[in-house]
Amino acid sequence: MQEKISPYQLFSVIFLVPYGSAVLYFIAAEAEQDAWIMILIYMIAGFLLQYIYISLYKDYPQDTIMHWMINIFGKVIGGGFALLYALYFAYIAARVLRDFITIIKIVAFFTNSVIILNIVITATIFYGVAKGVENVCRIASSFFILLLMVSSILLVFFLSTPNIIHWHNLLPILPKGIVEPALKSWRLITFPYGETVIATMLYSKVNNPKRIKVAAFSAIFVEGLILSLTSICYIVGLGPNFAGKSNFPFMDTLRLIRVSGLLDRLDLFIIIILTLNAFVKIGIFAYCSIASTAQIMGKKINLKLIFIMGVIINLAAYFMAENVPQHLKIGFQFTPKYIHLPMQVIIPILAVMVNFFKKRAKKKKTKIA
Amino acid sequence: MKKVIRKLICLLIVTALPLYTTACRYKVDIQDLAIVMAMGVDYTDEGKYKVSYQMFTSSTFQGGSGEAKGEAMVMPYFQGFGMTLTEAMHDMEERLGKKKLHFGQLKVIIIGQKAGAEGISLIIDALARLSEIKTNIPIYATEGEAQDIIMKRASEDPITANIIDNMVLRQVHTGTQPVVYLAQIADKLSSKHNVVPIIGAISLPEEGKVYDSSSLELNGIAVFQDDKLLDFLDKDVALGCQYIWGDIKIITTPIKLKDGQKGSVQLQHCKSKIRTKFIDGKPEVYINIKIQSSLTDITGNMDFSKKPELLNEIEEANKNAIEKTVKETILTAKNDVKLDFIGFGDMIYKQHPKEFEKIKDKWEEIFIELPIKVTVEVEIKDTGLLRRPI
Repeated sequence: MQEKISPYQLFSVIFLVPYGSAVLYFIAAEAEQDAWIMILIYMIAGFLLQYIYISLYKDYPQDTIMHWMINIFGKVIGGGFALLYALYFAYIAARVLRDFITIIKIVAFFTNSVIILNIVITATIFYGVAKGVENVCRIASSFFILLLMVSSILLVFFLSTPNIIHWHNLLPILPKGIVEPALKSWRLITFPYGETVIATMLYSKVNNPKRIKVAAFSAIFVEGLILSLTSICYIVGLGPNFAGKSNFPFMDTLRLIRVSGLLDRLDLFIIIILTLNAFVKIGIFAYCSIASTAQIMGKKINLKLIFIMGVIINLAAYFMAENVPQHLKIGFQFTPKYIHLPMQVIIPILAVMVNFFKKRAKKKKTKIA
Repeated sequence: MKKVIRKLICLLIVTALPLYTTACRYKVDIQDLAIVMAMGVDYTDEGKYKVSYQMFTSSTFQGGSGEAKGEAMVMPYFQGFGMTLTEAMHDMEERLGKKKLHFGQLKVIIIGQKAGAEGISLIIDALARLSEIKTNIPIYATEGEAQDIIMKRASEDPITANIIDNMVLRQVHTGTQPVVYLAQIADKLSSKHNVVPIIGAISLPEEGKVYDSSSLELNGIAVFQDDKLLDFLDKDVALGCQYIWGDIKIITTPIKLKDGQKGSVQLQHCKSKIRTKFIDGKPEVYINIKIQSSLTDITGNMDFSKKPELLNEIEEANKNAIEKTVKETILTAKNDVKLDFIGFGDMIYKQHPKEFEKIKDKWEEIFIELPIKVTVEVEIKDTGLLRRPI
């Protein structure tokens, strides 16, 4: 029996996957106090990417991106691209795992060894994945509601703490015009919005294909709004300069909260949100990499494959970078340019173009015949 | 059988993993914690940082509060020295023995005059980098040494940090003096736009001046140039700053009326609007402060319910007093300190970013000549429970 997910579950997955690690960092730090505007502007890129993915899906409604590639580009080139995608998903899963291990180690478990943390987290996640993507998506959908509740409570606390909110930090708005900061923060296309490329692995599982477009687009919309609001909180709470220097402004901002001298140290919330974010995000990426490997090999997902991928992702996360600054540098400088951009934007656009010409050629043939 | 063995192995792994996690392997019981409540940073003549802690350990309150009567409780305090702040912060660990330093409950950080003059970048960097320390810890500077304040034993509460914490909460509530947190000073220190960082000042009251059990005062501000402590300014200047920023929430001010009568009004709402203009490439600043207050006491013989216009005289007197405070603050900034600690440069940059870029390099000279117009509007909304003075 094929696994099925509902449009709402697709919505929460598309929302949570980029959100999971985007909320940790002050994304678009280049734009300083205008970061929130940039996040809203690049929402358009998010819509366009989803439009591209969905238009590809409409031509091959039964398949995932693996088969699109093979169908469009042929067995050799398409197969190569498919393999790249499988690797790409595994790489991002490892990268995100490393992100979360880093912050959890710095925030809460300073004395623990990284390996144990790695094993504990990946074991949970791969257990979830082994139970099927349906489960992971269900967790994502119920976590979405929990996240909304917790975040709104935290937001109320943040806004009611006296003396920490400085709205004038948001000024001046766009001192250098809109073009210069927008060009500087082009990385927003790839992260967070481009990470919605995982949806290409899930479209074919949706039980109500008519509502895919609505679910995907509204997910991008909510994503943009919430991330923009988050960075406004970073700017008014920490100030654009300190937020740009801080490794984890999410934590620094939540630690500003102090309501009437009582509600203080909400680190517990941070850890809960972090682990759930990590579970959903790594879970989905790991599932994508496992499923795509299985599809390339023409087999069904089995426990051995999951175990092997688990070990690979674990090791990759461990050996990915020597230290945190290097990890962040690769993550913000190298990966967006040379890994995210081709995988999320260039190859899908190529695929759309090739597909278009192929379809036209087919039409002509049928006309002549 | 095979299934049972498999399940047993699983169980073993599951029980073994937690043994390596924080709660088991690296657990610290509460009686093994040396909880740092207040921290003072000084700089010695030998060129070393000196860190003083006021601590809270389980032995502080041993035997319960009931038995501790009679003898005063002693809060342990420790000092450490080091080339860098972190070295000094961990210098006393040997003497603490088994106890582990815990910064999670830190209530206040006090920087001594010499440490401030040496530069606070290193101090703020070390504090913001340490993940145990929260970003909303108030930072204060003091004339003299920080250790005097840390080791001050007040009679009202043996934990000085709690007294300071209460005072800080009070300041936040009234807004009469600025309260600057770690996050804000870190942001100001890393700003690129001629920002002059300020932090609150803390001091011991002069002996014999006040006869009560208070032991500390949070009055005035400390002004920094780049990251070096330059000067301490008194509380009237700080009050002026708060008026300009519109941060004041509650304050009672005395007024003197023409015919020798006196009274006082309580501010209940304050809003300030700062407009900046460029005229012929030169900046001008207009400050408009709107205040709503209520009458709290007055002498003389005025019937306000018959003649509400009588309030105008009081409003006028209050307005003049506030204008004087604000103007004196601006004069102090221009003539004595010669630094824009009120942040006019930043305000101009925020309203006219392009024009300000041109004059940015000469800002310090321009500021001294900067025309600033202050207008204050006071409205007295009510007269309390009385109609006429008694």
